[in-house]
Amino acid sequence: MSSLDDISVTTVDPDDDASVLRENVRAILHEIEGMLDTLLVTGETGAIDIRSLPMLPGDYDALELALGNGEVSAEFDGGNGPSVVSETAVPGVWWVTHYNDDDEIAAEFIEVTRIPELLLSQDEDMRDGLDVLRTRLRNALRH
Amino acid sequence: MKKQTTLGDQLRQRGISRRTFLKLCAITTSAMALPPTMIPRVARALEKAPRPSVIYLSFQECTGCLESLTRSHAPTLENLIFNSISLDYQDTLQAASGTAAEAARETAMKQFYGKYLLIVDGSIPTKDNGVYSTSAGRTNVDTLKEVAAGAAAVVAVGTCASFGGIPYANPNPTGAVPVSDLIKDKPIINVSGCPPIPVVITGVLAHYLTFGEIPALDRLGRPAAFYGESIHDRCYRRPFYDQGKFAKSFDDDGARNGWCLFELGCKGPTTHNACATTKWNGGVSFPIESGHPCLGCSEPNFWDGGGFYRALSQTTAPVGMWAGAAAVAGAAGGAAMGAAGRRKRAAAKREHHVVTAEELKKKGKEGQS
Ligand code: SF4
Ligand code: SF4
Repeated sequence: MSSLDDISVTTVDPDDDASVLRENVRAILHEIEGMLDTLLVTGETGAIDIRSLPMLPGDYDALELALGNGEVSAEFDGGNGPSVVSETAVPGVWWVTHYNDDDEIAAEFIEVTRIPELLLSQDEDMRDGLDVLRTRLRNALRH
Repeated sequence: MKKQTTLGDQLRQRGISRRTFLKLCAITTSAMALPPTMIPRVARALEKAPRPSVIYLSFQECTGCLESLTRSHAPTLENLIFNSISLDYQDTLQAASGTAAEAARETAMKQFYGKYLLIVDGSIPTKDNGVYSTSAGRTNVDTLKEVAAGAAAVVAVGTCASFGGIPYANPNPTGAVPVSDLIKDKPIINVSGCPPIPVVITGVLAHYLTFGEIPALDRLGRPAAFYGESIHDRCYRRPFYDQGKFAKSFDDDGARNGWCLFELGCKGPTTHNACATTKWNGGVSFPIESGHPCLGCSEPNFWDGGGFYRALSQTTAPVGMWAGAAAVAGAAGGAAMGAAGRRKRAAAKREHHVVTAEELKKKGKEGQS
C-alpha cells in the first residue's frame, strides 16, 4: 500500500534564474517605490492589500526578503487575534499582518506611512481611559 | 418601534476598542476586495450602519453554501457581520421550528417591510406546481414570491440560486429555475460558486451593511469586485501556460512539476471567481493549487459543459475543429459523432464561450505586450 508520503511533490519555478527578480515581486516593489516617493513629497500615505495579488509559490517569501526587517516591530491584541506591525528595512514601508482568533491571517497589508494608524492611540480610547483614571483617583481619595 | 442601534454603538457597548474597530475595518475592506485607501470610508460608514434584518431561505440545495458561510475562516469578520445583522429567519440555524419559526419570519417581514435583505440558497423547482420542494406546507415558489415582495434586495447565494446549478442540470427533472427567473422587480445579487467562497458571501453582506446599497455587478449579476477576473487571469500556473508547459495526466512529470492544467480540463479561462487570490480554507490553497483543474463552478451550466476533464478546446469545439483541437490538446478520445453527440455539442456551444488554447495564447501575448 502506498501512503500519501510516497507521492513526491516538488515545485519548480517557471523562472529558475534566481538572480532575476521575480516579475510579480518587481511590480510590487515599483508600486512601493512610487508610494514612498509620494509620501516624502506630499505626505500622502499609501497601502497595498497583499492578498489581492496573484502570487507564485515563493513570491511571498521573495517579497519579504526584498523588503527585509527594519528597526521597529509591535504587536497589538485587542482580543480578536493579534496584529503584527513591523517596519521593513525600507523606513516608511510597514508590513501589517492581521490575524484572527484562530491564528489565521485575516488580512495583510504593506503600508507606506510614517506610522500605521493602528499604533496611534485613538481619541475614543483615550477618553475612555481618562474616565477610568479619574474614577480610580476618586476611589483612591475615599480610602 | 425599537431605536435603530448602529454598528458603532454596538461595538462600543461590547467594549471593543477603536483600534480593534480599525482592524476590523481593514479586514472588511480587504474582504470586500476594495482598495486599502477605502478603509477610512468603510470605517465612517460602518460606524453609522444600522443593523439590517436578514431573512435567509433555503430551497432545493445541499446546504453546502450554508456550510461554506458558517465555516468562514475570518471569525472576526463573521463576528462583525453576524453579530451586527439580525438573522431573523434561517431554518437550519435557528432554534425555533415549525409554527414559531414561521412566525419569526412573518414578524421580521412586517417590522422591516421593504428594508430587509433576503438571502436565498438553492434553486426553485417549478414543475408540477412546485411540489418537489416545500416547507411549512408551501411551495418554494410561493414562499420566495411572498418574502421577496418585501425585500430591499435579494442575494442569491450559490450557483443553484444564481443560475440553477446542479438541480437545473440536464434533464432537470424538477423544472428548477434560478431566483432571477421568478423575481423580476428587485435587485438581485448573484454570489455564485459551488459553494461560493465564504469571504465573498460575507464581503457582499458587508458591502450592503457598509454602504446601504448593492455593489457593482457584472453582466451575470455577480459582484464585479470578486468576479471581475477569470481564474486563468489570476492563476499562479499562468507562466507555465504562457510557456506551453502542460500536464498531460494527473501523475506525469508535468503534473508533478506544477505545470498548467488546461489539457486536463481546466475551466479557469472561462470561469470568473475569486479563488485564485482569495483561496479556500482561510487562504490555504485553491483547487488548482492542489493539482486539480477548475470545474467552472461559478458559471451558468457548469454541470453540462461536456465533462470536467475535457480541455476547453475540446468541450465546445464544433466538429470541424476537432483536428485542430486534438493537435493542441492531445487525442480527442471517444468523441462520439452520433446525432446525440452533435446535439449536445451544439447545445454546449450555445451556452459556452468557445476558447481554444491557440486563442488564449494569443490573448496572453497581447496582454503581456
Ligand atoms: S488553464 Fe487553468 S491551470 Fe492553466 S493557467 Fe489557466 S487557470 Fe491556471
Ligand atoms: S477553482 Fe474553479 S471549480 Fe474550483 S472552486 Fe474555484 S471556480 Fe470553482
